[in-house]
Amino acid sequence: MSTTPLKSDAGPALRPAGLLEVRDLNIGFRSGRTVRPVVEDVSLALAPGECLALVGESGSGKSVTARALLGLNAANAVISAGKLEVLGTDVAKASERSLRSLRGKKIGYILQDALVSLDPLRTIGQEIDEALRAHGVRSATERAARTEAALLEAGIDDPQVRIRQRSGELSGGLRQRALIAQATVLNPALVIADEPTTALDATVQAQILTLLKSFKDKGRGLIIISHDLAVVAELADEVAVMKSGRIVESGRTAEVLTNPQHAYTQALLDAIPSPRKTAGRNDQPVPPSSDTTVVATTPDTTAVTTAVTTTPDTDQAGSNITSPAKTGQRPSELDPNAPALQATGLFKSYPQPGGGSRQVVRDVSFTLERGRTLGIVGESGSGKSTTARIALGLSRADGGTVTLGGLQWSGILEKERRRHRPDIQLVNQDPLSSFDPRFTVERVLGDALHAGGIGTRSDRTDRAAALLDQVGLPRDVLRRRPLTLSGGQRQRVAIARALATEPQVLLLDEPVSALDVSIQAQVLDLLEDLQRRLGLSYLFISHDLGVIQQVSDEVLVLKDGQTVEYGDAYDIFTNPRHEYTQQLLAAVPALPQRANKTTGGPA
Amino acid sequence: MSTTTTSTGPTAHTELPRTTASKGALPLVILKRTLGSLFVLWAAVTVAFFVLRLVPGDPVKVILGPNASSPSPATLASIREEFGLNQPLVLQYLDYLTGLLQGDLGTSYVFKVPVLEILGPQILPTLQLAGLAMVFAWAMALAFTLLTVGRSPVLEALGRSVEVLFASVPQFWAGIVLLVIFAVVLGWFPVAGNDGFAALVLPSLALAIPLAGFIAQVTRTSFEEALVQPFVLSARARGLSDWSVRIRHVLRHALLPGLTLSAWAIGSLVSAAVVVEVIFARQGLGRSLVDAITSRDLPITLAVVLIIAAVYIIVNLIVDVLYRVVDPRVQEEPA
Repeated sequence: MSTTPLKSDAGPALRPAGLLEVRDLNIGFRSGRTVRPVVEDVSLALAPGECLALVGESGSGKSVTARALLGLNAANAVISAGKLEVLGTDVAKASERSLRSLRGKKIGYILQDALVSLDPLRTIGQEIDEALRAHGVRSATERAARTEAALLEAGIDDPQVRIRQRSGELSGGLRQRALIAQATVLNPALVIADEPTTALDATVQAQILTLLKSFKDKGRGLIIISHDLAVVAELADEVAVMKSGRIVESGRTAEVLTNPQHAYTQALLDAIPSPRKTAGRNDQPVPPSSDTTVVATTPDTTAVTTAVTTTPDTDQAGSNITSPAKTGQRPSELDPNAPALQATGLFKSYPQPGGGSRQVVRDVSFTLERGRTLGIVGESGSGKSTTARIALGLSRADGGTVTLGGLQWSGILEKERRRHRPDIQLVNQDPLSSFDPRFTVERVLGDALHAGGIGTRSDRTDRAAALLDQVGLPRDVLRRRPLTLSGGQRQRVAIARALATEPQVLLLDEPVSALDVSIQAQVLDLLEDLQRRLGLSYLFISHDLGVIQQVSDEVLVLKDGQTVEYGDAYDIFTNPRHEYTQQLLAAVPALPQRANKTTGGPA
Repeated sequence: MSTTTTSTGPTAHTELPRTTASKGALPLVILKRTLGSLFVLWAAVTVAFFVLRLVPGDPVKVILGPNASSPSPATLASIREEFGLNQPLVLQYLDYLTGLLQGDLGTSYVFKVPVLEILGPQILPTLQLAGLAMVFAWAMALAFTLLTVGRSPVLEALGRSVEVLFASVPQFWAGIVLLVIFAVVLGWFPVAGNDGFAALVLPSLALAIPLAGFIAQVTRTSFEEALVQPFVLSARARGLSDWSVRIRHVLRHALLPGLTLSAWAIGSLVSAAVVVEVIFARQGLGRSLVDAITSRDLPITLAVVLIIAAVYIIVNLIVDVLYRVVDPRVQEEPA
């Protein structure tokens, strides 16, 4: 009842008691003489106690729209609207002074990542105090009391300790709660949360969602901005799907998510990682050098053409793919019959600043069979990354052994290890920082080929181009620099670089966590396709259970450095035995079942 | 659209800025720094001592003065004896070090009195000069930053140009221009001398102008960086005014690199003081140094080098402490 669908008759349907009334909002950014439109003809409404979700991928105009409600757009923003009224104030015309009395007091605005959204040099007590002071709470004792109350309301149990700490000293969950407390200390009637749970672990995310839900019960209006449809399903009453600055579909959440009308909404829903449909994959070991003819990596044409027109991430693969496995330049000494990677009884501890040491990995063992994917899942601090570093031979374990393709991999000199380094490669979460920004893609790939001792100087360009074909990137990417590529393209280049040395094992550390859902789906499809074609083995690390569930054959669940559960992915996800795994699974927000998955949209 | 830039921005800022500050608890740092400082002082003295001795020419001629005509070998020998110049160089060096430890900086070759008696009265005026110059430089740099960064393109460009102009002005030229305009033409300040605060203003400004340009360029960059951080948006969304956000949040982040620069600058200010002390005919270490070098008065030269080194060390220690006040994260060991 709160969102006005764009196409329907706008005015009369609105409830006068609404918290906001936005009609035909247009926002553009001026650069030089031209104005680039970012938001076009957006209309929104919201009733107290309800939650409206703005959904869309990066660049769709969600955040720009939300900031317009507070009058917080950049100086070069050009805003026009049929109506832009928030809590009785005409934001488009209001003075800076009256906007300031709106911000914080009547509208609470919560940004994404509390580590950077709270001043890292100040304590959270100072940050909350500042909000009270800005809105004329003179008495210091009253401010102190209200600060404490706000922290308690946000679910922080020991406010007296926390007010003296800075955001950098708090855990992710506490930090996010502190961020929420500073935005809601003045009891605003409207709370806007921009990606409030994106960077959080599953269980923490569930707690924050519960907290936000409680705001609705207190009669506050809530606007959340998210690209995560599962979060939206959990929280929102109304949803507005944005694409390229326009609302393409809106309505009651249950209706939109179970019966999406627009192709873009369907594409977004399809892109959500889903578990493997069967347990059967286990019984079909992949032939290592399968001569399977080229399978198009293009995942879902609708997803590509409709979902990502803003990012030039379109798949161009499917043609002229050459497999480096077939060109076979680099003889590998790995035993083809041994497990690709095997760890037995790993231990690792780090010394603590105040003396003593902290055990980060405790007796972790796993076996990654050839051509298969082992997913390692756990929350931050669970020892995932340390395990990965040990597996890569970058960190020395205190105890335990690692073998790579039957060869001793731990406890040997780096000099001996270097010979086999090409066999195991890493793909990071954020490829950008792992590229030299001055290098072109051609040089990035050329360097990797050189490191793997593959090809000659003259044929490296051809090889680099072949690598790009393999990851579905056009050849003109060769001359570009990483900074000018989109997130999805960068990750493809990172994968191409990892493939350059013709490895047998890829260690994928949160490879899709920084990507939008539809791009994420494409990259996951690419990885699966590469595995099938090249017989690669993946050690796949993620905090995202959905992703792990989609890609893994086996799963290793870590908590506090210890193995909680290890075994067949299908078994673990359908029948988790350990309490912690059950908690993790329960914490993942679930989407309602879709009624008409096959019904075509108007595309 | 924004996808190409998103991952580069905010995250970088949460890491500790690159600083000269040492990590760890304050008392420990001060202890470590003090021990290190003693070593630096010793090294400065040693290098200066031997380098100055390498300069050709006989110190005895300096001691006798320009008017002495062909002294007898007996006179020369007695002077060598008196100033310890007849001993091997290493012994002279050890003698000097022993003297230093007892607070004796030696005897001036030219004035024949203990060095401290000559330099003592010069130290304070120079420190006042350098100190006030630092205050002026920061005041100007902060004014530029707060008034022009993140404002209209015209103001930004203006701020930038003025900074470059300031940074490229030589101190002696600034001194002469200030002298002509404010002392000679307008008569607002005394032309020369050491009398009171008024006489201090123009020389300090002459030193401060180029430094203000440097500091402002550094703070501008970090201010720009901090201004686009999400925590600034959070603060504005709490209802803070633009000025409160700038002063309470952004400025603090912008100060850090400027502080590092200041630690370096104060040392150079003491030596740059030479120029303005000459122009404004002020007393001070700078003038003493120039006089000592031209007259080859080694003990005084050595003492000035020592004092500048000491000032430099003390200021660095102070900046290290200030750093902790501005950025409490320095104190923590990385987890």
